[in-house]
Parts: sequence; structure tokens; C-alpha cells
Amino acid sequence: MISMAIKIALKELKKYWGNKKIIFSTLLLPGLVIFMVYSILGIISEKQANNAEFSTVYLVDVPDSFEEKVMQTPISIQKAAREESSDIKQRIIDQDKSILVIFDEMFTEQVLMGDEPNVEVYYNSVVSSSVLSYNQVIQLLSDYKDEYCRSFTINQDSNIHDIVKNEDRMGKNISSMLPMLIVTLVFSACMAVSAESYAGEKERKTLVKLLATPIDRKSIVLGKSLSLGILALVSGLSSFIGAIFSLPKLYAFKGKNILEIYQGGHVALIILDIFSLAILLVTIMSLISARSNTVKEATTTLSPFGGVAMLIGMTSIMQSEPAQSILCYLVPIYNNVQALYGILIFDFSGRDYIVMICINLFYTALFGYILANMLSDEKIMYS
Amino acid sequence: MNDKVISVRNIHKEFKLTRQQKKKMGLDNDKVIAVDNISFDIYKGEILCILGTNGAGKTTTLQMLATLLKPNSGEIYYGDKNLSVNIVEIRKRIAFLTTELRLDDAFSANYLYDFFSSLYEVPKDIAVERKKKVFKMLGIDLFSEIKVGNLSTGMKQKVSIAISLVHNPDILIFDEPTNGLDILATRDIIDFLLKEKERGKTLIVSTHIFELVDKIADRVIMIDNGRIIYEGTYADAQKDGGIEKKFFDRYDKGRM
Repeated sequence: MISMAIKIALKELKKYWGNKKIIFSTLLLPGLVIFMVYSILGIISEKQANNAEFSTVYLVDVPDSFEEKVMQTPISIQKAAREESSDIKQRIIDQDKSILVIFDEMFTEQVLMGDEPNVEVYYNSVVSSSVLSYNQVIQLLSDYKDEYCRSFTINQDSNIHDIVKNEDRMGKNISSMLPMLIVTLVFSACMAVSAESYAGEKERKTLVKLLATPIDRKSIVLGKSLSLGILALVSGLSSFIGAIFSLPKLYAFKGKNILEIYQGGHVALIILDIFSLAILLVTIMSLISARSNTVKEATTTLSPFGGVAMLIGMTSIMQSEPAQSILCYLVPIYNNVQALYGILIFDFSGRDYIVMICINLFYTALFGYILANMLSDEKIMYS
Repeated sequence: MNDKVISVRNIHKEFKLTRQQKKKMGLDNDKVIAVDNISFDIYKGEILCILGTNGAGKTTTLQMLATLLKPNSGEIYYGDKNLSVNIVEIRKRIAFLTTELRLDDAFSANYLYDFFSSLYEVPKDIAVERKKKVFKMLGIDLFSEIKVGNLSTGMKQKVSIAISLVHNPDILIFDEPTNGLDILATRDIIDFLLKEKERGKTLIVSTHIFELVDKIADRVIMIDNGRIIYEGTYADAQKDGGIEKKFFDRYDKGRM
């Protein structure tokens, strides 16, 4: 059975490899597109951060000590009289790039007496420069408040206090997006090849030739699933590599190369994770493809599930550690996301990883068995 | 008469219709009977022609013989082997060819022949020899490396035939083998069928072309509405005005 399956897999792979359009669109294009899109996003984001515009900060009755503090920052300030407050507020309403800070008239005296004077800060939340400046001013006021109290200071020295390892920081940033990207892209790649695998052959009536031979139906299923799994894996890896090379631009990483952080063992685990996901997805999708009479019907049926796959992938954005319960690793696709997340943040359990691989293989075998039986069902094979 | 190679006993095949199909065909029933309890035998080394109009039940009958469809009732025996029980073994002995079946356009005749040889587990040296002979006989060696997608209909049909023969089957089942072919390709196919008969093969050929029946048939079965309306030798079928008259007399009678 295995040797027959390999013959069929090799034929299927030769069919795809011989087609330059498929090579480009399934294998090279996803990685290129991801790399370009995320690199561009990163460049835009960096430019926005560098060219961020700030509003002019109008200060009314500002204490000298605060004024000194503000002047040490790049914030552009202008002192204003209390009587000008209404005009300035009107300008803020009219989306002028200004914010207004009004201190109580007896601010310093009230603080010394132990009272709590109020500081009003006016800004316009729909003007991005106003929001940026508002955040800066609030931070400054908060620091000023702490300094003024003088009971203790926090992180006022010049040491770096965030003592996270570069690898862990990178892992945290990558792990929030990469599992979702991989699941979505592998799903798309699987859908593209699986829809054609049975429905396409039924449409073109090339499947019947194979069914008329004495070959075991399970060999046909195994061979096709293997070839499709390999194609989907390569497509997923293309996307993965594109995403990896674009992430430095997206997150403005400097210093260590990502590929120096995730080395041989990690990469092997990631590849195996993606492969187990790919082969499970192609088998399930092949089931749907076999039930469909045309490629269009198959892709129409499969498309809505892309959203489900993406949602499952997005769980990595909201979590801070991989799932701990072993039951989570019994749920297909979700288990791949959790395992991948764990690898990326260097916090994965070997036990959970093995459970993920085994359960995915089990589901693949189960759906493959169902598919093999479907190939003998003339209602499904002949429209 | 020669030995029986295939016995068909009361095979019946019906297909369930969808609501759309029912509406389109204007039927009240939710099923259509494609083959209605037919029985016949096929003898070693003969060419049996199954003659009928489109939709008569010829293709369905052949697909059941070729193990692609299962009868709703009835039995098919290859020698003493029941088809439903020995399906894998029987597939090794038969070849099925129809213009409905397509080959993968992405591959050459050479590649496809080698691929199907490996599926039938034909030893490599035998496969090489066989390929040489078949390709030469059918004139495929001239275009064996060209992708099937780039070949004409006649060339594709020849490649299909060659691939059907990789395992040297003793029973060849051909459904409308000259459909869509020009006169030269048709002549080549007819020559091929007669040569295979000379080599001792048993052939079952369905057609709606009387001239083809005239050229190749040893025995004739006429089918209409899933039922056999005539069965006999070619010589007998020729009597009383010829095959065409015999067919239409029975066809028209069935509609009165």
C-alpha cells in the first residue's frame, strides 16, 4: 500500500512541479506577498513614529519647576494668559493642533499646604497630534507629581530596567502574530490544492482511470494526501519565511538576527508542527472536495472555514502563555497554534507537543479512512 | 461455441434523481431505470457489440462490467469468480476505455504508460517491451514525449488505448471507441480491435454506429430503455433486411 501511495504522490507532485504557474502562485507568491506587505507596513509605521507631529502645548499659570521640566523635552510650549483660555479651547474644538494645560492660580502654594490642586488638560481626541501630545503631557505631569512628592522615585537612574532577554522579547512579539499568519496561510494553500485534488479530477474525468485499476483506495488517498500535504507545507514555509524576514521591519528589531535566535531544533519543531497541520487540513478538505462535483463548489464550501481558522490562530494574540491543559492539545488546529506559540516563546512542553502530533495523525488517519471509503461510493464519484 | 468468460445474470441498475433532474426530465418518479434486469453471456475470443441509442443503457452496462458501478441487483461472473467478491483480481484482467475518461493533460504518453504499468505491478523489463510494441502498433512512438494536453482527439484516444493495455488484459471493454474521431483514426481503431481479437482477446464494444458493428461484430446485443431487444450472432442479425432494420423495427415496436 505504501509503495503504491508513494507512486501516486510522486505523480501528483510531478503534476504540480511541472506547472510553473502553480509553483509561482502556491510556493513563491505567498512568501513574497507577506514579506512585501509586512515590510511596507513596518516602514510606514516607523516613518509615522519618526515623523509624528505634536501639538503646541499652551500653558496657563505654569509653575517654574514644571516649565523647566517641559523645556527639557522636545515638546513645543507657549505660555498663555488665563483670559486666552476660551479662545484656545475653541481652537482645539476646531481641530487646531493645540492642547491647553491650566494650572490652578495658587498651584505651588496649595501643594506646599498639602492641598490637591487640579490641573486641567484640554485636547481633541480626533486629532492624532493632539492625542500624542496629550499622552506626553500626562506622563510629564505624572512624573512631576512623583518628583514633587519626593517620598521616593522609581527608575530615575540611567540604568535599563527592562531586563528581558532579547530572544524572549522577540519571541513575545513574533508569537502574537505568527501563529495566526501561519494557520491562515497554510489554510489558503491547502484549500487551493485540495479543492482541485478530487473535484478537479472528477470535473476533468481523470479520476475514473485511476479508480478502474486494482490499486487499493487507501493507497490513492494516502498518495494524494501526502503530495498535497507536502505542497501545503512548502507553501506554508514560504509564507513563514516571508513573515520571518519581514518582522524585523514590522517591529523595528535591531541587533540579533531572528534566525540566530530560533535554531535547528526550534525550526525542526516548527516545520513538523506546520506539516501536521497541513496534512490534517488537506485530508479534511479532500473529503469536501470528493463530495463536490466541481472545483468551484469545493472552494465555495471551504471558504467560510478560512475565517474559523483565522479566529483560532488569533488566540495567540490574546494569551501570555501556551495552553496548559492536555485537553487543549486534542483539538485540531488549536493544538497546532498552542504548540507553535510555545515554541516561539521558548515555553513549550514536550508532552503537549507529542500529544498534538499524535492526535493530528489520528484525525488524519480517520478522515483518510472515510475518504477511502468514499472513493468506492459511486454516488460521490460519479455525478 | 467458445468458453464463457463473462456471465451477466439479471443485473438491474437505477439512479435516484434530484428534484432538479426530475423537473428537467418531466418525470414523476424519483428514480430512473438505466438497466432493467438483463442477462447475457460473453464468450472467449469474440467481439460482442452492444448497440443502442444514447441513453439506452449501454454505458451503464459496460461500467458495471468494468467494476465502476455496482448493480442494484443481479450478478456478474468472470469465469467462476463473482465480481462483487473478487473485484481487485478481476480489475487486473480487464481494460476499460471510454471517451468520457480523460488522461492527465500534464503528462506525456511515455510517463503515463510507465505510471500505470507500475500501478498494475508489471515487471519493468516486460513493461518496456510491451510499451515498444504497443506504441509502434498504434503509432504513438512519434509523439510519446509530447504532453497529452497538446495532442489531437485521435492521438489521445490512441494513448488511452495503449495505457489500457499496460497489464495485457484478456478482456477489453470499449465504450464508443470511435466517438469524435476522424475517418483515419476510426480506421486505425477498427484495425486495432480486429488485431486484438486475432491475439485471442475478448472484446465488448458499445456503439450506436451500425457500420462499426458491420466491420467488427461476432455477436450483437441491441439495447433500448435498459432492456435487451435482440441478441444473436452477427450473421443472424444480418438476416431479414440487415441490422439497422432489425434494430429500428424493435425500437419502434417498443414505443407503440
